[in-house]
Amino acid sequence: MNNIVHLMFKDLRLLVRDRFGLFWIFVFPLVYALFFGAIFSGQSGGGGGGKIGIAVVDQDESTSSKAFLELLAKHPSLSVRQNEDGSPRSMPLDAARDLVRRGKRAAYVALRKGFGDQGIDVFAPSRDVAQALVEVGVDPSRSAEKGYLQGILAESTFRHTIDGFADREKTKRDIARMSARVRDDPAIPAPQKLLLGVFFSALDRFLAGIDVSALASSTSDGASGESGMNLARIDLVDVTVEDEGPQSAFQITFPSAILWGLIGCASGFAIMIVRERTLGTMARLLTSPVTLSEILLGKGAACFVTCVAATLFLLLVAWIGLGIGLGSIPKLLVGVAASAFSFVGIMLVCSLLGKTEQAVAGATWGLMMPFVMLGGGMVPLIAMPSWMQQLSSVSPFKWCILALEGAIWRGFSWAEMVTPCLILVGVGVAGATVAFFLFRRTVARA
Amino acid sequence: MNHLPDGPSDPIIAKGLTKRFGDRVAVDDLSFSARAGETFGLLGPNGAGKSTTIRMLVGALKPDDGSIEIAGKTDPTRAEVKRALGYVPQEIALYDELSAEENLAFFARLHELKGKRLSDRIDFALDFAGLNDRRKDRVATFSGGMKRRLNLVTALMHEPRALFLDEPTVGVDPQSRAHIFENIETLRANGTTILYTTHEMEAAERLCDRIAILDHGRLMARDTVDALLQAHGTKTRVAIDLRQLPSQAVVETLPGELTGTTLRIEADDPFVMIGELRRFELDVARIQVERANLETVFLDLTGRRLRDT
Repeated sequence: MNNIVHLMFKDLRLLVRDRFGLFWIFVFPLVYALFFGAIFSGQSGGGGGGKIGIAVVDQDESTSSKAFLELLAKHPSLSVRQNEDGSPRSMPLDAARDLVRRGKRAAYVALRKGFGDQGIDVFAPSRDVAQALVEVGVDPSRSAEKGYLQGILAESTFRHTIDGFADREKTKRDIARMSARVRDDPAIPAPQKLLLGVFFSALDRFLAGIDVSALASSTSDGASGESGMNLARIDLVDVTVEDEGPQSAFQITFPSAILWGLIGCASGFAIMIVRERTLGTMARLLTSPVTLSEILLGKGAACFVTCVAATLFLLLVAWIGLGIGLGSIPKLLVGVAASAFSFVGIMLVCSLLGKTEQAVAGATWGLMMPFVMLGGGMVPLIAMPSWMQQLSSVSPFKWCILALEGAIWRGFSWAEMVTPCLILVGVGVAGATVAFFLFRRTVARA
Repeated sequence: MNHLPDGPSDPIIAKGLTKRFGDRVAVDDLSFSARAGETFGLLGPNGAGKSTTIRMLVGALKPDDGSIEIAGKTDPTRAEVKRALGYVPQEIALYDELSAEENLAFFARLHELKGKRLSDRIDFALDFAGLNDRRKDRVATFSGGMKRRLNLVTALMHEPRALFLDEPTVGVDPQSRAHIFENIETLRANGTTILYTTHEMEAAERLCDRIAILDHGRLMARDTVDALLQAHGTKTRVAIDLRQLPSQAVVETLPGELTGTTLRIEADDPFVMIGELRRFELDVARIQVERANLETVFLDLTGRRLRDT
């Protein structure tokens, strides 16, 4: 056991003094994660550029509802998908809910049937106070977006109402309709009817005489909730986002970066072993009172420790430096250990792929690259088509990424963690066993 | 021509050692032994099988046939045998990125040295190699000669009873070579049994009590230097430097071997031979009589020069 520890510390010391090796194990993966994470950031859930991405539903399909949605689409804080002609793209309510549920849009705004009828006719019988004409769906956990969106809607509703005053014919019709309805309503006493008739007449004259555009501009800044003119009642609907995707692009790029770090680690130690053979230190080790098993275990232990250190380093940078959620820490540690173990086996096999450092380095990268591409090291697994995701199962690297992502953002249960972790441990055991027998045959005795 | 081992108690015994690499026989039925406290040389040209033999003896290579006995044990891969032997490979088997001290400490710890004994042995080894002032420096910064010296003393950390040196002075500057020779002579004086492989006859003559001459994996002769010279180096060699080459007709009738303008002839009596050369009317610049050495022994045994192979 002491010999294994001596061998391990010797290799770790050699690694620490190999700046080039350290670059590939620690620095390159970090650069990779940050670079691609920065590129892919902001591409999910929102509208980009700090806007709240919303889906819109127009069930009313009236001129008024269309105008209201136009107003929303033009709002500088909102991002609304548009049709080719530039108008807001309305969709069915279910589709809008689904987009929010899947995290593709932060919220949806649905204008219900009757939205356009309300105008300024407060006596309309269709106006059911129990039934809001605007429905907003948003994830309850996104309280900031919810509050902000409510403010924007209040502002837009007010602006929409003010804009409605500019349509004199419509206003005249609304006033005439209200006047007729009051006149015909037997429940309203005659003196009140007379008084209301005078009021409607005065209102009509008043609206004919005001500058609506000036009114709109004078109220535009203060027309949110605090103005008290919340003309449209909003029905808030909770749409819980299903946790089926990463919350940040870094949650995808860091597991991939960890994979690159592990590859750098395996490659570095494989080269270290062949260097021992070419420089003669392996012969010196073999003539010391050390067994071949101890030599390989020492190498494996050093590789394992380095793999774990590189992984934890990247995870700590992601967590502390970038505030990226790491999901379940116990599961993550199990995933890290299983991944590191698998790379020990891979490293030992790779060390036998050639007789010189150049041969092993070339063969190692040549062998690993297709598996890396297939396993999600270059293109994230989540971005692969389903057939390729199935094909990628032949790559041990896929299981490595899956074990890490499972703990970080896929929300794997312990049962779900078992499959990738067992496969990784199996790869490690198989690699170490094959390497041991090949070593005994081709190195120690050749 | 193979000899049987001298005695059953010799610390290094090889019997019928054979090693093949594919169709090539690298070591062919080789038997010899090194007595306690002696320096035994394996002399031969490159490819003679010296390194293969030494690697089999230290357990780094498995022989196809034959047996080995080191310090009374027949399996050199056993830990107790490894503790009794020290091996200096032909390559500089050190970690360039570790310091001299760290290299010594690492290999010594594998031999279970620790504490004061470890630090004492490191001090001794660095003194012995003349590297005390460079103990903290990385080996990568050392000259070739310094690395060779450190390569040697690394094998001495655990005070082995049998030391196997595989061409320890290859590519070394004269000062370091002299230092290493002095080291080996000190070890020899202290009673360490040494197996020394070399293709340099001067080293073998200076350091070895007995020598085995190998060629193409086979043992050609084995004895003390004096005995070998007596048995195979009886003729005297005369080297005659010519000012100008004689005619082709004369060259074809000359005895000996003409290399450039130097004619080398072996003869029982050099004076008689020189007298006989008068009839060729050679334009002689200088005549040098060379004493018999291992080169002449090798030439006598194989028909080839050691340096030319």
